[in-house]
Amino acid sequence: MMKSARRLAWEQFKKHRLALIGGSILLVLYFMAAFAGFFSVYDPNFYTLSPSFRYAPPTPIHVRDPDTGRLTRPFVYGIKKELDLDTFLEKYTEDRSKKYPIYFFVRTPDQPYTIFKLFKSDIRFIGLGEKATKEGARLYLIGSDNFGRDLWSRLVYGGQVSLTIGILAVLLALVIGLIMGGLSGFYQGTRMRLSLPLLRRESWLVEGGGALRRALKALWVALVSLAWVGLAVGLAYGLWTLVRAAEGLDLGTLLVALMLLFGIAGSLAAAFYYPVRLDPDDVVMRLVEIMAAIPGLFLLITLRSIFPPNIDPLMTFYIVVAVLSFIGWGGLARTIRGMVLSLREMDYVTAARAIGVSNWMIILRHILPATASYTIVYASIAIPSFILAESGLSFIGFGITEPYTSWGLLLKAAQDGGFASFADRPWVLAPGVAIFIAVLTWNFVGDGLRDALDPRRRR
Amino acid sequence: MTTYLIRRILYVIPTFLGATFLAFMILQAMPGDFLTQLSLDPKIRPETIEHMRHLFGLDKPVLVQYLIWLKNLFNGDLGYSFMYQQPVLEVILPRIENSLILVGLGVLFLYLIGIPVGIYQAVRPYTLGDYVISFLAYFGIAIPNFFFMLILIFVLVKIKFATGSTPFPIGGMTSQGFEQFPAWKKVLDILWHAALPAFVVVTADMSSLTRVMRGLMLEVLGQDFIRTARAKGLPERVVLYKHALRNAIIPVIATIGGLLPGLIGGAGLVEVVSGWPGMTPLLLDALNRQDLYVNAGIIALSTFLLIIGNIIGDVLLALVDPRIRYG
Repeated sequence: MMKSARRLAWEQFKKHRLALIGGSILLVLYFMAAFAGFFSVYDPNFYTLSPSFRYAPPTPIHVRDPDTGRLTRPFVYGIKKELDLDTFLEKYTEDRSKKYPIYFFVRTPDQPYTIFKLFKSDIRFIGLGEKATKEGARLYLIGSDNFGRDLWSRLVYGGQVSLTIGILAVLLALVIGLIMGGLSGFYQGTRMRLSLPLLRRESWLVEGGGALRRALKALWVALVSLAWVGLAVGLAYGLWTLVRAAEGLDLGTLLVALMLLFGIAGSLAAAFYYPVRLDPDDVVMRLVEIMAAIPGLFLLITLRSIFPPNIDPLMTFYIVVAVLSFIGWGGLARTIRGMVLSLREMDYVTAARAIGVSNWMIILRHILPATASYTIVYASIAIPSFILAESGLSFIGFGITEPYTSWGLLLKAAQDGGFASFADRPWVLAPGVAIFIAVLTWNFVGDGLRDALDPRRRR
Repeated sequence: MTTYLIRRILYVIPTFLGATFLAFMILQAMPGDFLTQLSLDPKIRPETIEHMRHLFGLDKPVLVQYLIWLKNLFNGDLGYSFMYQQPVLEVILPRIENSLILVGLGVLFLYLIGIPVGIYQAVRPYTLGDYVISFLAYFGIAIPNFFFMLILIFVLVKIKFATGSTPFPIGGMTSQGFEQFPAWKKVLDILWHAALPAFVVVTADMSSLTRVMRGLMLEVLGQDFIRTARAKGLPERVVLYKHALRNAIIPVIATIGGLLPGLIGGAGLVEVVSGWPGMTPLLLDALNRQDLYVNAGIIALSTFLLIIGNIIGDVLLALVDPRIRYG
């Protein structure tokens, strides 16, 4: 029996054990991030000044009753803060006089949350309850941060940003990359007219049409030529200031002046005599090369710093997505272009063209779908690299800003205190582990998808 | 070959111009400039700022600023740093040197460790050693390098607390009293400081290199001419290194060119974490202070390095792989 390609790929994927494990872990991660309110212990921005619990270690959870020694419901003791007189550092010890049981599906009316900005709730998976919180008891699953905020809750909420930003950036990069690569490959060889020289008769030719069309065409020719003349004037102004500012004749002035003269002569020629034609493929591919020539990280942080750091945090999130995808679309466009170059010669494309399907339809319905398996593999490989890029960007303070949080930003907070500081509180490094797990599992899934979708790799 | 090389180099010029133009435009798109930050200082008179604005050419149109900058670039002058009150080249060059030390040492590690490990795996496939290394390679690819560096520093600090000394220094580039060291000791000191960050910079690449190397080597080892070589009684060493490795390594060489520049950017975060005075910390500083010409200088020079790296890669590939036509 013939199996559909999709079914075949799925069966292949199921054979890849690491990909299955990775996929399940990812599902758990995304599920927790989606229902962050439910899985967090506290509100991610909840802290108190008195008592303040800066850098409190993970709260020890006990399961044995201290009096009877029998197994009981898990509980924690209260937290007592002392000043260590040798080091003058705050030390947290257990206050054995107070016992607080840990509840599951506990209500915390003091700290409500919303899921998907729609559903309000205050039920949390695990917690001590409102009363215990008021009495100064805390359940820190992995410790607290520099304000005494619960690191676990911040980690869960940070996942919302860190895990979605990769997907969003890839989606945007896919849109740009597919369109640019598709256009560039499809129109390769068709040179578009960029100038309608005034002194050439063919510029003024109008096929059919009456006086109105002719007048419009004349206006258009004049405008295009005017633009070229404008360019020439602009370049001439540049040349003039350059020569005026130059002291004597040096190599640099000479080179730049030559380039400018060349440009002026060229644009004047384009305006009056020489018809300029340009291959869209050339434009796109040169643009990709230019962007690839600047080291990625530098381009990333430079682009990001166009936007002032004090704008709206939600806006920052979108800017980071946009910047990431702006860096990422080039490689995809280049590969897609190569595939489209061969696809457009296929018989079924010629057939579609023969029955009069429009170019846009051909690109969207006949050519791009044929690149789907490559695109899927690209996406699954690009997502972890975008997650890494976002965490790096946030880590150096050029990414997500407070009060939003991401794993990179949490790690930044860990490092801000200097090297010696996180030696005493290793739990602040936990966000790094989260990034690591997310990237690792995405890589597994990517490997699995590549094996499943590439017929040569089938086993 | 010469024509290929010349064409390849000529091809670089428009790319470089385009890249610097793009970078310059992005830098100019930032709101305000260094002088707007200065103008917040009540001690500086507005006339002084206007004078400086004129002096640095910041009052001219952006395109003209770019042309003047380009002209000076061809003369080997990258402008003047507002922040350091020094010519930009003097500020940047030592930083680039430092970054290149890190990247150079990293590349050395990469090939000295990556290739032998990959060969080892291919020679003993599906053994415990193979599985352990494959597992570690997955780790190496997935761990963010700045996080890896943080963990290593954490371990070092712990070792320092426990024993009072560390096998590797915790951050920085030189020890105390560096200025008084004799030359050989200076070199050793820098290498000692560079060792860990350099290793961290290339972990991801090293991991994928071992995987690629293992795959390539396994493929070649399964081919008929290897069986022939073994059948005619050649020693295994000759079969491995003279017959198999030479064929398997060609695609690896293709990656060298793309690697160097990628590492220059990738070294960035590790530089920040380990306090290595390289390009990235300078760029971050300069971006925050809007030191225009330092930013433009760093981007221009690193772009230049990247393009050179790509050319080296292409030329190496053309040299080792006769299937690539040039001319």
